[in-house]
Amino acid sequence: MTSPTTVSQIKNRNTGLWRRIKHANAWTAWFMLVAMAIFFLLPVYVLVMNGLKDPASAELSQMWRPPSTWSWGGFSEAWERLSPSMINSVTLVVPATVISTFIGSVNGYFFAKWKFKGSEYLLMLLLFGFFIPYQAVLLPLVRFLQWTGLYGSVWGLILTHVIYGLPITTLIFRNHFSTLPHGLFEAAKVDGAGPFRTFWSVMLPLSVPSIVVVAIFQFTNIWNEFLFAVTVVPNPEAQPVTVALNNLSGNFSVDWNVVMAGAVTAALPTALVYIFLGRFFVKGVTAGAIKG
Amino acid sequence: MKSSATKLTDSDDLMTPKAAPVRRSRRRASDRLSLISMVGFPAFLHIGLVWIPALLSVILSFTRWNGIGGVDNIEFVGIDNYKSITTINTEFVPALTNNVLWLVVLMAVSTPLGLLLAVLLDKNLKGGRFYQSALYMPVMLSLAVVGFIWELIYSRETGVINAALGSDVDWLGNQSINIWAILVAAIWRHTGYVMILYLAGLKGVDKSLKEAAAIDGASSWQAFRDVVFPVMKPVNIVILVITTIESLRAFDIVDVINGGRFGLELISVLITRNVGGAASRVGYGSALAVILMVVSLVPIISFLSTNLRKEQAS
Repeated sequence: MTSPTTVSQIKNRNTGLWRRIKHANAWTAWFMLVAMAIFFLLPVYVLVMNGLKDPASAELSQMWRPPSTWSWGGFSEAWERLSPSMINSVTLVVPATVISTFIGSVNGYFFAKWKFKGSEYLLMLLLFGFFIPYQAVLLPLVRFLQWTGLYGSVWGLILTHVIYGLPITTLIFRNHFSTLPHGLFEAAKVDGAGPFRTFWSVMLPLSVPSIVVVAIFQFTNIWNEFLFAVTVVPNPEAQPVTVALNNLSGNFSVDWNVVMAGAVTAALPTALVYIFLGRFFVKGVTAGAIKG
Repeated sequence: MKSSATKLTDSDDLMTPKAAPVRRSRRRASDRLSLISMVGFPAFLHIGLVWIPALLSVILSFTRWNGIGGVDNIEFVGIDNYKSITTINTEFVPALTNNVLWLVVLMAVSTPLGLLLAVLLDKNLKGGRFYQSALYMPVMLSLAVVGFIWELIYSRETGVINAALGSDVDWLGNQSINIWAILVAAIWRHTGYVMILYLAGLKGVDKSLKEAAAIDGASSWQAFRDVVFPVMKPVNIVILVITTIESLRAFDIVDVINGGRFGLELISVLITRNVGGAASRVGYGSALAVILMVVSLVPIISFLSTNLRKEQAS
């Protein structure tokens, strides 16, 4: 599968001109990808290169040069200062991602396949909640969490993220489930499967790309979220890594190598999740699984 | 053993499953109950955590309150906050313009670019995984880090752009161009999101569909336009929603760069300054939030309602 699928599929139409156009297309595609990759990776290059410098040579005028002497000092100090809050972030983000992906999938299934009168209005009501600016709800939200006793705890933050993520996770799953042929759903019913069984054994296995996207999406967003984190959990000991990262550069004398290494370190978990889950993602839906 | 009582899709009486003499039906009834509770409970919390705070914001927008004192310190002032926002606040119009510009630019650039990249990556090119990761890289960084990196790139004295062009442009300081410079950074970050969502959509399109189109002699463009794109229509809605959200919530990048002043005003910045800052003007900030909410809801409501209803009808 090195060449685009469609090329091999239409061999019978491969007149010379046609093939040349296809060939040029492949080169353009490749060139575009390389150019975009450079544009996208350039800033990451700066972060990594400067993170590996010693404090003296990590200065703004030398930003774009690779280090003359390599040093792990920046990374080890960044790790030292960030690791407690990294652990806080993991205990926050992992449960929040799992719960919100699961609830989103159930909700998406419900709104895609269990349509009833007014269900689309209920969905819209849910979706509109997504468009409310965070800044607008902060104060009442804090009051609500104080009232329930969840204020200041990681569970309060998890709950906030799950609920605020509900519209988008529901929407992604709903839109995915609605593309699955209705016949599948009917067939499962005829075979005697209840709604949960249909969901669990028929719908979910066909939804791996969506599950992965939602999980990646939620993990990345919650990991990088700042505003809720500082508001809902005021205790510095319990705050997630975004807050700690902010404090790294907030001091008077800035060690650029530590700041840059810190930015890379703080992004590593999201990268790992992406690489790990991306594996399932690339496979895509098993070919032929949804043939009518 | 199928009874008409277990018709799932078009029966309107989800809440009252009919008692059927079959055991399977009873299991289904409990299934339904748990399904409804799994949807109902989060929806209930959603109302408590999102809608009620939002409604409170709307109410607060007609008041004057410093946010610290008790509820009895709240003083109703009618539409005074809105009046003073639209007439006195000189940052309001630039902020609103920037928010709209942000939305339009992300829609017009990131969406087609992300789609194009997703299509390229869907072809399983050599090294596709690498490019896919590279393009997604910016999304992994927090927005504060993104702001900070682009500050270095655009720096007048030491930035790579001025060094490469041999120019001496104050990219972030010059008020007529700084918003555009920031938008490049926003595009840089947002395209990865769009790409991954479209890619998931493309991966979800049954391969046999594409193959069938190819055998029929459709060019890849035709196959894409006629076969793939219609199937991906639901993804478009997701992207519309996410892009709108991103442009609404845009805050961290400009906050890091110059605190959202001098050409980089955004409504979210104004809200934060009023609600959070030293001069806590909750009512005023809430009014700003309500304006932002309305601005974003209008296009979304009209789009979604026509779209969902069309789906429902079909």
